[in-house]
Amino acid sequence: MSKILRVNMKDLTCKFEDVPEKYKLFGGRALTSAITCDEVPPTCHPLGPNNKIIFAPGIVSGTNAPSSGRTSVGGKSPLTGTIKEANSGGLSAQKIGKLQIRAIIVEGKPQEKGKLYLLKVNKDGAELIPADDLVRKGMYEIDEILVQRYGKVAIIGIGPAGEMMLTNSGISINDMENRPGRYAARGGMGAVMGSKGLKVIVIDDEGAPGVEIENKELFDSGRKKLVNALSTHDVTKKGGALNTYGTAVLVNIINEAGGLPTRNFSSGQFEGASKISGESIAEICKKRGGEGTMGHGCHPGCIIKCSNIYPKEDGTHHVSCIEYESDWAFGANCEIDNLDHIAELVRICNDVGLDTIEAGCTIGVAMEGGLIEFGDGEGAINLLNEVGKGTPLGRLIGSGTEFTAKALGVSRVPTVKGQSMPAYEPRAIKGIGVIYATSTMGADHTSGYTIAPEILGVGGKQDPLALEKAQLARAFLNTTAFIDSTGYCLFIAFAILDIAEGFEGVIETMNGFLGVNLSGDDWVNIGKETVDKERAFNIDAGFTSAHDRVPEFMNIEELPPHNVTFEVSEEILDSVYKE
Amino acid sequence: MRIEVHLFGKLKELFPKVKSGGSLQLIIKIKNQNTIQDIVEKIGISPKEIRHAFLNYQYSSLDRKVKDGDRLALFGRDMALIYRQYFPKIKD
Repeated sequence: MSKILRVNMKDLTCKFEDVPEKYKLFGGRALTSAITCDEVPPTCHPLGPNNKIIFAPGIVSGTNAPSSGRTSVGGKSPLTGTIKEANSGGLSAQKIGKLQIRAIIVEGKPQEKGKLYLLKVNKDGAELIPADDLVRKGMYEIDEILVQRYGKVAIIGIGPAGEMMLTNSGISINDMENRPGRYAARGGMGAVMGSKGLKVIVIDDEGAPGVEIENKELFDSGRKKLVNALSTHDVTKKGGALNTYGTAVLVNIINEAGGLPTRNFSSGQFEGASKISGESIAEICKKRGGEGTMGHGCHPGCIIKCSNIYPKEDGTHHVSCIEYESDWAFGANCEIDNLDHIAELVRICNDVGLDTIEAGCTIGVAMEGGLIEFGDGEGAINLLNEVGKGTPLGRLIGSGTEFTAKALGVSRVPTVKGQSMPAYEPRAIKGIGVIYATSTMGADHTSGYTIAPEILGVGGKQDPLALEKAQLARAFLNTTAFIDSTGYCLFIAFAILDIAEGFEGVIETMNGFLGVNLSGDDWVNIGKETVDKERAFNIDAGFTSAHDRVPEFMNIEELPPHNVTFEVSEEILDSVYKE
Repeated sequence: MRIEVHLFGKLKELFPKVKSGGSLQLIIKIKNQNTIQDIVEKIGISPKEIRHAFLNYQYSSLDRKVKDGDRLALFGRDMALIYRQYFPKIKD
């Protein structure tokens, strides 16, 4: 029987509760957002006693469904002031699922200021243990210490950035090699965990009851269909794009489209793109050998395997992994074309506990503000190292792009609702700009698929049906919210959008697991309800349509090489949520 | 007419001596009006192997005509990774 674990940091108690009937169909993001909306006042301070942080595996996490090991982390974001769900791979989702825990809700604040705790969860229950020995330690050392102490466990933790409650603090989850690198990175949820005095959660599933699948036959049928779709689609199959080059396969493609943000979003093309491309990463892994590898999985049971282990020159591990957004954030966006420098910058983020997208954009505005020069890889490494030391400069950089831009008088600030934009330029790829602007999470490429400009009627060719069609963006936001609730990796979308049987498979695994009989539309409608709730939370927190905008410079500065501005009208942006 | 063609990923293996993380650049000289598909075939690649073609940085359909001085970038099956909704595919 599934339970919710409620952890009160004020009186240091842990108790298990029944899952309310209204949450029966919810997992992952649907569940973290529902609990946030039900229990967190929208106007609360994100680091105050009334915010909560919720960890929830997806519905099918813990089963043998392929690529289904995502853990959602939710609450109110200190970076954006909006509701937040950040999800990650790593070891935790399946172990939490096997313990039959649907969510862990952490609330309150310790009475003793500065005190840190470790939450240990296993088959016998949960307990809070003082974590004085882990104070100010980085995630590499913590993962090593805790695996020695507890064996093969999942470790969900924060580095020094989270302890300092810096608004760009992420939450690390260990990977199959027991290293940090899987992050619920976005939106500063590490700072919320730090504000609760919770340094780390250890999940031990030894002797766990395992998942209970209501209709095994239906579940197995769905699983096989999904495996088949993922194994045959060009993007997700073995030897396909993600498996061969990792997500950084996009560097050359998006650069060719003129949509690779470069030098703090001042150009859409980077001269050094080829040096930081997925092909270059794959070549270096092959040439240096040793631990270096492509086709690395971020959690057990992933069959896509888009991760990598990037090696040092001698073949030993440097970092896992260099994926597209991190590669771009520190690469093109900072004009750094040296993969070893990029690897080190990602490693620092993994250790100190930072989101790489936010950190790369922060360094971009720091470069624009004159702290260091564009292209200065060593300078960027030194700057990022300040964060873990807790120096005033480090606290500035650890507080994110918008904060740093304000301190340095920079007006080209690539954020929406305070969150940095990922690696697709809205002026060149206008559909993603609509998603960045209207997502409930701030600028976020994982909030929804994007729609082509001809659908939106931009660039002078106004389609009379543009307003109706703009609502397609809403459909993409809903579908993504649904996938984020299943436990499946968002990358299954490539295969299930193109292969109908793959989508059927996903629905069958969900229905089979829960013993229900919902249609695909019913499930996507739950995604819609999730987005509706999130948006209502944001409205109650003070957000209006004036916040659903790309930054002003994108409407007035032309982006080379296409020399275009964003062009999508406010009317169209506002129509996304019109019923 | 002179067309600058850039090949990415495994398409570069048609010319095995060249290895780099970027594109392999070819200069194709043609006399008559040609489409992207004609250029692809001239290089010796089956059009069905092409997943993404960018003509002068615009996502393009293979029936688009090329002109003197154009830049054409080609990505094969191993590099198929953009959602179909990202760009409009420009056709003639």
